Amino acid sequence: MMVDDKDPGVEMLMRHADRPLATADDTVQKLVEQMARNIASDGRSSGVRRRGLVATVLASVLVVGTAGVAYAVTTIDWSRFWMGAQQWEGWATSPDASFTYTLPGGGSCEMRVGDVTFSPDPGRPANVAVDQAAADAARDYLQTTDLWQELDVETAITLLRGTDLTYSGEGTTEVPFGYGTDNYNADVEYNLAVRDAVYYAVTGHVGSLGLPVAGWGFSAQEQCTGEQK
Amino acid sequence: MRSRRGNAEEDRFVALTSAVGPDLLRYFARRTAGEAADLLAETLLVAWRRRDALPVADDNARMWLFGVARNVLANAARSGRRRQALADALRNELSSTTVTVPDVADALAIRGLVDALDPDLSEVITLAHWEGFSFAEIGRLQGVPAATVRGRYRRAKEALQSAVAHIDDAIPVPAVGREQQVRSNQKPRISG
Repeated sequence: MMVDDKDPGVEMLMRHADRPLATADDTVQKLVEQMARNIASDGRSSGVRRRGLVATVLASVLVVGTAGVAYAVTTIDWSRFWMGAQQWEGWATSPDASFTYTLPGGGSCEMRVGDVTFSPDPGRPANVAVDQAAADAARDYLQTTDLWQELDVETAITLLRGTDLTYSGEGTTEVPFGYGTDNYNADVEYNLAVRDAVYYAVTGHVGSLGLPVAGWGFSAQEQCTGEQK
Repeated sequence: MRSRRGNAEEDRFVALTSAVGPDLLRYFARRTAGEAADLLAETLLVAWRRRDALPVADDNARMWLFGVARNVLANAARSGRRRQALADALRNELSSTTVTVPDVADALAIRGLVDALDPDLSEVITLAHWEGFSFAEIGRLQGVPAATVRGRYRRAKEALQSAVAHIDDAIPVPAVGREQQVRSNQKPRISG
């Protein structure tokens, strides 16, 4: 293995230019621990309400894995990642937002987003706030903005590439896939990133208004042609 | 009632983030002014939402958290950022105990040189020397091979060397560093 040839002179310069914290690590750790507890408590209830698009990438992969098809360990049937139905779901016939996009391989997709519902979990922890205004704000956002222009797909791709993705076919071991593995499909990656970017955009907007991200949800569906399978 | 899996999941998330928290806070404090607590809170939020993708091994999980932090920082720089109520306690603690060691002129000057580099080069040089990441780890964060990082590091080093050579005495480079530079070939150099 090649040893990193970091330069001692640069090391000296950078040490001098560093901006160290004066707060003790154990103090920071206690505060971060409290922050993490609060976030886990708040976020767990919002996760229960997520539907459709709001599922995580990994969850999507696991759904694909339950399709009842056995795959060779090192082979992935990419068609399983294109879950868009042949027909639009009922809500998608009158979506709050829609846009088209081109896949890296030249295929094209249309994504429709809508079905915003306020449906707080009655069993949520007492300290988790919900507000009908959050769902209203999400709907308004979808209806009044050019959603495609709001998406940061590039960042979503970077986030995807920073995660360890695995594919589980029934009866097989988990297969790593994604950028940097033997199982990479640029169209699949881009499409997953678009879904994630929509989620980040909508929840980010609602959160930026100071409204809770718990107690509401929305759906998305895409249909593609010419995708790499 | 929360499930046993839920408890274990939350406990691991809390243990991991509190362990890495000081390093993440330093990461943000080095790169922003007065926003570190907010950015850390946002990082924890994103990490929790994406917890299903959290690697099992702690070392990988730490790198994954830094990947999230890197994107949070990029988004903050691009679009501005909202304050997180969750960060209030941490922010108050930091402000009441002096957030960072005060900047001195030469430290500012060096940071100015680093900031003037191409962003990819600047990121490599700071991650390598401030966070102590290996080239392979930086490659994972930047999504490029370690060899590319090595090349970026070399270019960053040469650019810094050139900048110092041009500015010469105008930049009060630390005495030890300068001493070593002059010894090497009679020209101001950063590297030996």
